[in-house]
Amino acid sequence: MRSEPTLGSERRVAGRYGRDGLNLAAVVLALALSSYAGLRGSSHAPALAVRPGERLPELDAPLPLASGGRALSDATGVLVALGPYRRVASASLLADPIVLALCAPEEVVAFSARAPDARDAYRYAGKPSLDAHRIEALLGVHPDLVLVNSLGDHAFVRRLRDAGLQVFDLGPMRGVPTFLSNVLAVGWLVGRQDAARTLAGQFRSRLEAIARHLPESARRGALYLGIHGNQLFGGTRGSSYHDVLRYAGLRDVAAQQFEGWPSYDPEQLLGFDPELIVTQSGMRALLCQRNELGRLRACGEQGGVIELDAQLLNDAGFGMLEASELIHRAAYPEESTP
Amino acid sequence: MEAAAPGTLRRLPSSRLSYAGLILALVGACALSLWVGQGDLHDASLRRALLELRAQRLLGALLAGAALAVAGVLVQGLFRNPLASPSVLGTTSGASLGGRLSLLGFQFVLASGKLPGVPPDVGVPLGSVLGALAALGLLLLISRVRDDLVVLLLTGFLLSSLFASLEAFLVSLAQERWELSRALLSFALGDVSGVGSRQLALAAPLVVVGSLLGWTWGKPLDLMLSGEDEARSLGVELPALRRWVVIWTAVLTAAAVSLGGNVGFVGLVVPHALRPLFGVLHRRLLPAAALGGATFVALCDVLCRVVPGRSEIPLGVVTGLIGAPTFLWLLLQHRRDSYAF
Repeated sequence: MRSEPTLGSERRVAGRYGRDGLNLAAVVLALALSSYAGLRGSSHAPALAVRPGERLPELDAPLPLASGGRALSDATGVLVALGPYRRVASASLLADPIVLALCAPEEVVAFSARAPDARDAYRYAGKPSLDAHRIEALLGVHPDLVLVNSLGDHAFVRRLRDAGLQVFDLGPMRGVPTFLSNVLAVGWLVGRQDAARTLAGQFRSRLEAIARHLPESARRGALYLGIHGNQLFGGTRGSSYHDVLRYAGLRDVAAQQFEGWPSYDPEQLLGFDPELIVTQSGMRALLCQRNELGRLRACGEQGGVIELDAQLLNDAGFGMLEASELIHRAAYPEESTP
Repeated sequence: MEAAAPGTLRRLPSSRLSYAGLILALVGACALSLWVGQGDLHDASLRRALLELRAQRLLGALLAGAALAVAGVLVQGLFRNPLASPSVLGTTSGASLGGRLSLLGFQFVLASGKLPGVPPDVGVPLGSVLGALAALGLLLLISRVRDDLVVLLLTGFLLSSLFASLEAFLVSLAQERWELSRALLSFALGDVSGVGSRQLALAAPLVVVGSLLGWTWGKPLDLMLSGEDEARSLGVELPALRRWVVIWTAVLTAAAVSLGGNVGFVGLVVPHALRPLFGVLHRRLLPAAALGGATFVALCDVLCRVVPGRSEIPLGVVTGLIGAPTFLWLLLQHRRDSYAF
């Protein structure tokens, strides 16, 4: 049986609704303020002279700016005015060798944090090596252009720009095509587009020359594999590993089924059963001593596991040429024997 | 004279003195945060830019710390359990999932050749807030079926597990794209070094309003310390209390995740460390937690910068490395001193 409401309970009900109303209003106010303040003036469309929706031209042809001059669109679609820049900071491992090739030494103020680990680290000596996330250190070298690979995290690029730096985001590293685009982009930015075009052209020609003589049917099936703990990682279509295999005259057996950097289970690996496996130095034992993988053709007499220095194999820049040459020699030894 | 707070067996130090100590610590942490960094403040051409950067980063740390600590006090008061952390409601996982989803979504929009409508520095924070709100909606919807603290706790736990699994699924999807999986991992480690003005503007209203409105529930939460029946008999509307404490906790955690990603242990350690000084009364503890949380995270962020290394140590790693042993030490201390919640 329900009791009659008393004066006290009415007050309580009224108080409750008042409190609910206050809290509800506060939630709405907080969300509204937050959305307004966070998104206010958030249009970040660059000052394009081309109409929205119009297809952006290729990197080789910079865009005209509404304010005059020309600019390149970077990986996030932001337009960066063409230089020539004379205080370039490379905060990208991939941009380091490009900058070194296209700029005079005094035009480079810093290399990436990974430069001291590079195989040819001596070439980067004498300049500070900086991490792209260390904005203060970057500001300290007073660059007029910072080259980065944002690798999926675009917020920090925005942050660098907010700090007053001119930043060009080279975008993801996806093997030879993106590397060549990067070479051309840096060439445009530092005012040496002809040198960049020559450099990119020569690099591509030398890569193509390695296995041009090999018909598709004569190419051996191969797979790139990285072994970490009990996990098997690949690198196929859309990665530098795939391009290295391809230019070395091999057929990437995972390319039809996978893209990028997949992880494999042992069954998939046995399914591919490639003649050759390309991996980092020291991995052969790890791979072929595993019970379930010992029966792979690559671990047997007819196949082979090609081991390459990890730094060279992981290089998504000019190192791809040397890696392709070494792998080609190891995969087709009969070609090198007189 | 200080009244002994219910449940405590020892006399509390003067709260004025304790607040003064906290404010001093906060001022010290702010000064240190503005002073310490990679750049050289003596360089006149850079001083302004460096101070601006450090100030934004400091504000991010202060807001995230205050939000997490206040959320910790609220949720511990609601469940009457000092071991509860704001993440038990599932809204932290929801925010984290939302952030990661927007990170992925942003990549797909870029890959399709279109420019995203939201700038990159706001996309992830906005995703975090929306993720937390979606998780909150689910939590409130489920708890409407049965209004019970245990059901609320279990629902929060299940939602956390569900969102964590979905996050793992997203990470597995991104595995084929090395750069994206790296960005997802970086988000999970927690970091305020990239906080910008837009992120601050997005999170500040949530933290300020959330903390203030959370504080208004201090009295009912005090009454809850004696048990639900007692609180009900003293006029506390339990459903409304649960609902709003959950909502404000969600708002605060959403703001914290949107600023710094996953920064752990703050909501657990800071209230624990402050209770012996400020007692268990929420209206006194909540402002102290805001000050203490802000100071703790700001100091941890300074540590991230000074530990030598090629790049900075992620904030979430530092708060975890300091928070876990500190929490253990506090637990042992409280046990020895017969301190009770």
